[in-house]
Amino acid sequence: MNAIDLIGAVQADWPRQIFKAGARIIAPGDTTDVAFIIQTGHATGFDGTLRRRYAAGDLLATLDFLALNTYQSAVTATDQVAAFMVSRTQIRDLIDRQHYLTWPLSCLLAIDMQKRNNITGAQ
Amino acid sequence: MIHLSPKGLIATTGRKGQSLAMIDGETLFLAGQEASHIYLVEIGTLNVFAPRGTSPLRRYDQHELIGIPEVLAGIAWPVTAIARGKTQVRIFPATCLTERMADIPDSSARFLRHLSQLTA
Repeated sequence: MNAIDLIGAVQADWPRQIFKAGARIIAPGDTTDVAFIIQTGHATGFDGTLRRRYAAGDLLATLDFLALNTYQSAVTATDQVAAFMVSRTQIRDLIDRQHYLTWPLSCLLAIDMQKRNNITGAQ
Repeated sequence: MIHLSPKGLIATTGRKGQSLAMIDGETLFLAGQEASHIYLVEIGTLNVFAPRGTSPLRRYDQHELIGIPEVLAGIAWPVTAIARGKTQVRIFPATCLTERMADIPDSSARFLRHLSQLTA
């Protein structure tokens, strides 16, 4: 699922970080105040209990980001990754511009999915 | 977990819903029934069972919500929900979401579908 389609377009002011192959992009316990969207490269991690391979445009650990205060699973670069780092507030505002229900429904769905995956997100 | 306040759901759906008081062991819905409502646990606990299961798959406690994926997909409940102890739920009809989603863009609809598939 390409997150850029959802939020409109890449914004010029988004900071970007480069991760070497094997580097940890997200570690369990990191705050979900920041979202990572891949610009180039690939990474692996989990959404809930499903193993995922992320590529350009993907929002990493989507369920954790939407439902939890801290990431519960790690995401690791499988080759060199360039990733945009976008604040939760900015993501919410961009998604809200598409349709006012998308953000709250996404969060509600993610919370329910994590529940079904037995992921409670200890704080 | 980012908890949902009842206010949050009311703001999202624009409806206050109806409150339902349940007794221990009372069934809220059965597997196979049309998912025509979303439920918010206000007090107590709902246990959820597989169709022929005898031990709960999971439980929903205060401020937890059940039913958005089923309502969005327009499918039947895959599970049965039963109150554990004295329980109170707030009931929102499916239409409070589906009517409001009539003009949702394709990209948003795709994203919501994607999210609802992210469970084993």
